[in-house]
Amino acid sequence: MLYILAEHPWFVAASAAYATALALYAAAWKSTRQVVGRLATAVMCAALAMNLALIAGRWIQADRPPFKSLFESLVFLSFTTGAVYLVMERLYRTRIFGVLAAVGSFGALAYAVTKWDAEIVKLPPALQSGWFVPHVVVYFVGYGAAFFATAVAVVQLAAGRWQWVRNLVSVRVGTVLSGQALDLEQITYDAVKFSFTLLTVGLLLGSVWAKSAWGDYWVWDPKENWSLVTWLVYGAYLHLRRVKGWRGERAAWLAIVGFGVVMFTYLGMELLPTAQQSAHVYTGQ
Amino acid sequence: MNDNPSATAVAPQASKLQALAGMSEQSKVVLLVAGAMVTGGLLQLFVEPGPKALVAAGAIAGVATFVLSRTLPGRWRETMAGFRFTSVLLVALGLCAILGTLILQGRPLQEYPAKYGVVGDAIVAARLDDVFHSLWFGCLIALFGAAVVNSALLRWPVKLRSLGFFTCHLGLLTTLLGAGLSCAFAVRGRVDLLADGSTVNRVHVTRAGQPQAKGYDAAGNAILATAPLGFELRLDRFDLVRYATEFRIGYYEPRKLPDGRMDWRLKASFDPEPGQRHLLPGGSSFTLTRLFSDYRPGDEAANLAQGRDAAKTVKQELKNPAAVLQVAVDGSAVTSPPLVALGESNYLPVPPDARQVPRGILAFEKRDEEAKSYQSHVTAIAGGVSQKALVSVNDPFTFEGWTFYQVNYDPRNPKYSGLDAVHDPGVNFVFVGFALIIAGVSYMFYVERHLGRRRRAEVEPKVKAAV
Repeated sequence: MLYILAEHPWFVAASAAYATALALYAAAWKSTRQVVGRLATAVMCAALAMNLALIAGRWIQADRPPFKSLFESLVFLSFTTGAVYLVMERLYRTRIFGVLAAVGSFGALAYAVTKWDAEIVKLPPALQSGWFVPHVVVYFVGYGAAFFATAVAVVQLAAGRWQWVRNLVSVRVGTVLSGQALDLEQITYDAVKFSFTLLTVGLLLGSVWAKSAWGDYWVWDPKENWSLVTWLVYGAYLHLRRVKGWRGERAAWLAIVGFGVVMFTYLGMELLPTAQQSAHVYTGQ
Repeated sequence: MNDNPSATAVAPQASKLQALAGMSEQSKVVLLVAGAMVTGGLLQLFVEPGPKALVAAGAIAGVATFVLSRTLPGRWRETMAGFRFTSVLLVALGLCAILGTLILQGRPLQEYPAKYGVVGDAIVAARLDDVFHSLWFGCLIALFGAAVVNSALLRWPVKLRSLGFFTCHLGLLTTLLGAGLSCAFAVRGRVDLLADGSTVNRVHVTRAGQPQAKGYDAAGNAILATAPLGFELRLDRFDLVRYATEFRIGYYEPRKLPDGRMDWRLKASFDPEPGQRHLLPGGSSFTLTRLFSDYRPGDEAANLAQGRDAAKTVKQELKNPAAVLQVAVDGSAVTSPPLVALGESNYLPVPPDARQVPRGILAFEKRDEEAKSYQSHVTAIAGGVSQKALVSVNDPFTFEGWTFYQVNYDPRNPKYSGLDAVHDPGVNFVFVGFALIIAGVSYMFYVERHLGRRRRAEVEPKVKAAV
């Protein structure tokens, strides 16, 4: 493991920046000084910039979009998770979820180390398509939004159980910038809507791409099926929200289940007995 | 006492209708979903499932459910257009999709009892071996279609506030229609071409990639189903384009295979960059000190001349490259003899000391030559008119309603190319449906709420003024 870190200082720097952002966001939970929260945001921005540099560097080195292997996709997921969070931080004027976002980004990079590519491989003909980049980018931003929705849902559930979490969510200078109490359920709903829109676009782009590559827009491949399951679960979430008795904790749990399905779709394909029938299992997995 | 026999027959019927009408929404939801699956399950005992049967059953069931929902008393229509019913249906469809990934799909039927034991027979009987072409799944899709129609009609006439919902549901219906057309009428087949001047005018029909038999001859051999193209297709040339040859310094570690044997696994790979020190797993390191572009064993003078400036050599064309590595293990450095990439002595154990068990090996070698592109240069000839085209992966060729996709090649026969030919009358509907779904969802989530805000902004001052 150490040789990887020594060989790739930018990777280490980005990981360290995420870890520092995590610590600062955690400190902002307790601190009433604005500077702590601002510093956390600044470090998170720096971490994202380094993460983006990693992606760009890999793109140049490989001479292709760096989304081929599990390792490369994890590095990108780390970036989209952090980027979606920063947009949400700005939108909802709160830094409460910064810790969870930093955990997500740092976790993705840490996991990427365990899936390090022995070497950069070339792009096979099937992936040499104009649909490749939009399909992956849209999906991974959608995954980032799904992560954020889950993070908020987790906070919502925790706030219902523990006083110290309720204190965190209450109005504080460092974390809640708007001065108004947060509607956690509404934030989860907004994030799920955003994620669902992107997952829809990603699913359909993938379908159009499959048609141009293989002649079929849908072949019931295990990965396709699980992408559909993700879409159906979030679809059910959005519908059930209009049904009496399905708001509050139930909705939060459903959002968490949705993210569980997202993660299984992303990482769990090799566990399926039908995995060999799939054309979508990552190299390096 | 009622003497009219027809009246006694009508009375229980009316009470059944009343019972149906009086059911709670939850009971209706369960009845609809379970009813669709049981009906489909029973139907496939009598009707052999297949693309046309699936579409016919789905269409009939969809229309029947829709008509019943509009005619039965007791808010059945509202139930089917409701969020609760849709949610349950989405979850049911999701469970079916999961099931299709847990059970192997589309295998020969005799494989299931062998693989799953007693359960295997049940899997085959319930058509779980092909979940997505079973009639019970078709009935579930039919129910989904009927629910979508009911939901969309509930928003009729369309207003600006419900345009997104309506468009999205119209998109779902258009996609279902296209998928139905594809399922029932699309023809897919394989065209095997040889670049020897010959032409083909028929495709071997396939299903899930396997050739379809239309019958058997007297000897019991399958007679393959074919479909006419309506024109001639010729392969002029097939090119397998590979990426440029590259060399690497690979570090391999021993790995125990599940059967107990050992092999070497590539753990890290480095470009042959002279002068740069690289760390290896386990704490060792190496530096490429000299690189020869065209190493000549025994000709030291020639080798000395070309290996002097390694940085310059790396930019040259590597004909018979060799590398000298300096490996540092536990504080002591060892310089290797020239490792010739295309020769047999191209590796060095780490640590280099022969008395120690190697933790790994460093090899100077050629990278795997990966395919960059498979290209078929073809000519389509119809009625004296010919059209030349290049078919490659992600770049199909469409002619006279057929689209050709590059799917196969034979490394032993460079004159062969395998193309899939697809004639699909449903695909355009599907893609229009996709566009409508995306437009509808985006409008529903991001335009409608602004319309609501604007409306509230317009109304609120008036209300305040009135107050």
